[in-house]
Amino acid sequence: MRLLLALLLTLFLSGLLSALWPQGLMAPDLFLVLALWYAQGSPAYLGLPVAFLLGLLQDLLGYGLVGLHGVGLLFAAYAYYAASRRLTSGEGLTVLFIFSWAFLAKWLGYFLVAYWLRLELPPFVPLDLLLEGLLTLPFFFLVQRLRL
Amino acid sequence: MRGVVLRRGLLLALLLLGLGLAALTRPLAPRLTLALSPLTAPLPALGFRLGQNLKAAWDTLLNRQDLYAENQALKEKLALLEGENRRLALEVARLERALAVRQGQAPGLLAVAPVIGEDLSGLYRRLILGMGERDGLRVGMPVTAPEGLVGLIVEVEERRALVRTLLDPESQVGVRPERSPGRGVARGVPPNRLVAEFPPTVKLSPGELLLTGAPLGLFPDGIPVGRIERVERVQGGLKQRAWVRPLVELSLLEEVMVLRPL
Repeated sequence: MRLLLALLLTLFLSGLLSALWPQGLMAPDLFLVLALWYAQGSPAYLGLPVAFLLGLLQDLLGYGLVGLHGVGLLFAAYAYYAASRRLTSGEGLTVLFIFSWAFLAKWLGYFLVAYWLRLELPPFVPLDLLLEGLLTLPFFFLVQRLRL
Repeated sequence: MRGVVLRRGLLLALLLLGLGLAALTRPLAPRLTLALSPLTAPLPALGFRLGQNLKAAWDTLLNRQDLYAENQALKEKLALLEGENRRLALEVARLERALAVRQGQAPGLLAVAPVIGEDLSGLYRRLILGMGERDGLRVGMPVTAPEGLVGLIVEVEERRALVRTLLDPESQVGVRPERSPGRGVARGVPPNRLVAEFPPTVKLSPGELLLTGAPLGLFPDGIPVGRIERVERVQGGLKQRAWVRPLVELSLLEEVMVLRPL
């Protein structure tokens, strides 16, 4: 039930942000935040499929390739579980490292799908990547306090 | 260990599913998502609309602030223009008075001078003008106002001039009645009267206007001086004396017109 409410809130916020956000600027990835929020309070056998489904929903909303975001969020959730298992949970640097690891895994998933479909890979712009990560990070810190 | 295997197995399965879905739905990419969008779009659309409204509200607020600043600037400009308008209105009125003097009394108008002081001693009735030798004023120049004669300049400094008004006891003005022939001399009787003496043959009546005349040669002919209040015979009927109220209210004068001397 909480997941459903969180999903509705995410959908609403993503629409709100798309209207308010300056055009051309990387926006925070709220679906990633939602997937990680669910993963932090759930076992992997639930967290991974939910992340995958959230990614599929994101694909449907974005009118893009079905599976691209699905694989991206799946990788992010997996990286989250892997990092959480190896690091003691806490605040600050640990959370930052876990988020960075999951964020990079998400992009790895994107590139994997693009490579799988022989898509023309978008130009790699580290600054955009960094900006998206920095804008998403505050939301991740916020949901860290709202555990399931 | 079992958990790790489960997690990796799940990852692999879902990855294959994702890649498969991507490969299978790639040809249908836009159509499939467009077909499903009625199910997924309403909530983001609601957020989007709210965001647009918030943005519009913010823009409106910013515009209102602009309007407020613009309104303040316009108010300041209006105050400035109103001040300028008042100044110009006064200037126009001053020029109109000068024109009236030039047309009605004497064409030789030299300057319009402000009255900056008055001798209120009671012995003399004199005015101090805020212009002097530097502005071209000289001793002997007649001074008038649109209502009538004021007096004569008797002293000039660089930036000031002293006017002996027609109410001053030392003042003598050659006068004549407006509607009948004859000439006389008017002297000042402080605080606010003139006494004009005429030969007994001149027809005078109360209410009649006296104008400057030629006899003493100090003022241009025809400038209004005052109205006769009463007439009396003196020296056994050899002369008649007219008590005259001047047309100009000296204490209210703010500026006067200086004429070229004859």
